[in-house]
Amino acid sequence: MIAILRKILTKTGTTIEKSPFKKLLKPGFDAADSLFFGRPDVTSGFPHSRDYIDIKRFFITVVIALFPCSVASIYFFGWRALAVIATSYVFGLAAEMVFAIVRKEEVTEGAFVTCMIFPLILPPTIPLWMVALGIVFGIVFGKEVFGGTGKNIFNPAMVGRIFIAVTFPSTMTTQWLDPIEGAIGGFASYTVDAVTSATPLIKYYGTGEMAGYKELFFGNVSGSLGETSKLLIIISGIFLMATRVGNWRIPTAYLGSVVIFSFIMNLFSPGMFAPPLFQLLTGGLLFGAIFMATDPVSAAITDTGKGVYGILLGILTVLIRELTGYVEGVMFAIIFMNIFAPLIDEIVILLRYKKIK
Amino acid sequence: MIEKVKSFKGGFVFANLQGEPTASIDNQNVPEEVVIPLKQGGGSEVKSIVKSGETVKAGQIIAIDETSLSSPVHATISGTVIDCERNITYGSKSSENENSVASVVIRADGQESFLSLNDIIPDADISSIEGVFDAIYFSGVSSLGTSGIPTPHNSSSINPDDVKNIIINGTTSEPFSLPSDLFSESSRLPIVIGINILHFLFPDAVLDIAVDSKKKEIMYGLFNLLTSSEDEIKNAPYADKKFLKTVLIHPLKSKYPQGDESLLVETILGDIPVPKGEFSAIDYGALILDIQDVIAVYEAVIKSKPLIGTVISLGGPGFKVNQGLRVRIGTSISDVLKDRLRSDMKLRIILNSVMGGEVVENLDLPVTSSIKSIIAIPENRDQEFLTFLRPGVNRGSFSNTFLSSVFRGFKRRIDTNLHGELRACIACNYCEYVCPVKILPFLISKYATHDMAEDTLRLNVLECIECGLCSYVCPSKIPIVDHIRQCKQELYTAMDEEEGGDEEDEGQLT
Repeated sequence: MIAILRKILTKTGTTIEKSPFKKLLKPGFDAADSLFFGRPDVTSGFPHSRDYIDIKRFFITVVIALFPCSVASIYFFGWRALAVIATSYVFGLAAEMVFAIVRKEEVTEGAFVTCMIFPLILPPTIPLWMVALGIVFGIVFGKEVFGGTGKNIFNPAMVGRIFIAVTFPSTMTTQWLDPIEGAIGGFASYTVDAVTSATPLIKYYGTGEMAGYKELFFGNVSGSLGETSKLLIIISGIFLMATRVGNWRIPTAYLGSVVIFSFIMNLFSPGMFAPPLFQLLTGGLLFGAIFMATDPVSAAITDTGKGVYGILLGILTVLIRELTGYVEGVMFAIIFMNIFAPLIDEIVILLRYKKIK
Repeated sequence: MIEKVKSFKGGFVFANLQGEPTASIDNQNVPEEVVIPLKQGGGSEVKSIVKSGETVKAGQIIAIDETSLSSPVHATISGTVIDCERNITYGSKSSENENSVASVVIRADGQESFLSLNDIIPDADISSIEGVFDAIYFSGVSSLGTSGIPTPHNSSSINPDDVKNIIINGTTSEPFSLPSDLFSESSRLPIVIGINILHFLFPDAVLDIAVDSKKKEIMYGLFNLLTSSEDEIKNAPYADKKFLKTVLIHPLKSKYPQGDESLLVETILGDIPVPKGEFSAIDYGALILDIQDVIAVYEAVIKSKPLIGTVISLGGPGFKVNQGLRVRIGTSISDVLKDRLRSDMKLRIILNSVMGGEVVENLDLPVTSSIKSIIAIPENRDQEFLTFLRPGVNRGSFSNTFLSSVFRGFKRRIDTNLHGELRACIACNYCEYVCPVKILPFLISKYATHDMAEDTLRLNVLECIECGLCSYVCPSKIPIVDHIRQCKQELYTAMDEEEGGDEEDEGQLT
């Protein structure tokens, strides 16, 4: 089986080399070849040996960490969730491939994570064409126009979500589904019929009604596809930090500053600011803190800067949630802080190396 | 006294590798021919005093020059000189550190014996400081250590009076270096006497010993030995009971690159005043020796044995047996490797260090005292199916994405494969975490690739000691350390131009 695949790839490789027209497809072929078999490259110069980790494994670890959340999205909202994820992958990777061919560069692996995160932060009722539009916009204008993975200033999944949130506000804010309960949950149905108009967070700011903490924690509440079960997100987060793929400073600083800031504000103005635990367990805060704020490229790049970045994110999230019409503050907070990340880095560097000059 | 466990921030532990040498030493037969480079340690080249066709005894001095910074060179086997002007070239042609050295070639006559130091300097009086210095110089031992042992005979760049600290480095942070247990049992007395001799020579110098913090038995063994009241120790030659008790034993974590001069001095003695990349321990008055060097001091002074052999470690999965090997200096590397390499894989032979060592392209090069290990790792060009999804119980990594960080019993493989493709930096900060000198390697690399080398001065780029860890851990496989080197070079060139070339030292550093 493996040998056959190897043979097919070698053969395609040689045919591609021959014709100038087919050569255009080389990035796609290279991507497939290196995806399945890696590269035969060896080190030149020193060091003579390299660590076994590579970008593929780095990003695939994030995808693995997102796996429980995606299974939970099927459990709560039916198999349609899988269709949303699949749509995102098909169109996201296609956009990535087109850019690789145009630029004659290699396909980069960042899209695997973006295409996985994007569907999980969408409402379950989202039409599939909107998913396709969002992911393509996110990949192209969030990442490719800047030069691809590693050069983007904004988190591409966030760019895609903001695009459709601003373009189709009613779909993104008013059409939610009540999760399916029971042992087999949504594994027996394609979609959920029970439409509700609000997530616990929207309900709280509308009527002041608070959902039970237990429901919030296990995820039997309405919300975006992947962000309802806080338990699974916390487990994934611990996994990510233990593997050293996810940065631990950003989530800890982010969540910590949300708790402290909302606790203080709640003391002064309990009607206006929700209590800390409710802040933590509602909306996309945990998901955003663990999977999106930690995106290493768009966050502050120095280690100390990452801590500062997290703290500011927390304060900004609480302020946006409480003081603006957008109850979901995480999305705008992250995009906003992406802009300021280089400034934070610059200040960190200035302070750290002050002695030199 | 045993100090608290110390270390530095950053670094990486290379532990449990396939092909780590065991604590046993094999003896290499006396070779039929040796090529002896007329340059020992860090000194300059010396002119030979023997002629082609002359018969020499092992241990006989074949080159000496007290006027230049150098140590004498000895014949390491008995036989006939067949060539005294052969040039051998170190370093690869592609790299800039290519240099050629004149050497003497001797054909063996089959005798294993060697001259003792008494035959070379018959009137030596090893009870006086001058006599001991003579013994160390004329035995060639003064060429050991990173920059030579200072003697009155111009064997190091500083005078013996300027030695303020002696650091004996017993740590093994470098992958595939000989385990320090090797020196624990039989050579305890030589080590203590060697230390005594060093104190006798440099009475004002403070002596520190660095050992692996995990090797508790060596640490306490050494401590008991230094504080022992046994007659053997008390009455050992050059013993100064009071002094031995003041020797400090420093347990250091065996993190790479703890063996680096600047990090060793900084962890043991505290902050150093210059950027670490420019630091030279000997100019700071610190003499760094390893345990093998101390034993050589003992052998030269007490046993009158000239420096004709050295112990090298054979590390890496490419060897059939991984162990130490005692060889005569000048034995060609091909003689050492003969029948010892595995033939079922393509190998890359590296000198001294997997991280910063030179690749051996010409196997006829001789073994010298500055070669501490020969490493053979597989040149792995295999394409594995779905390599990024493999569980990886035998793959070491800074990240914990492989099962090897859960199941620690499995030996880890080291080979030359890149294990991935070159990608853009994603700011994962791995290089920042492992950097032993607290700079931001990925940021400097970004500046370097955009031709902004002069801006990296404010990022402390001169601190870099080129340990290579940043390139090692990079998941994007960026040659970060090459970029940093390039920045440093450009900065030094710019500095030279600014100063109009009146400071020669700066130029040499590049």
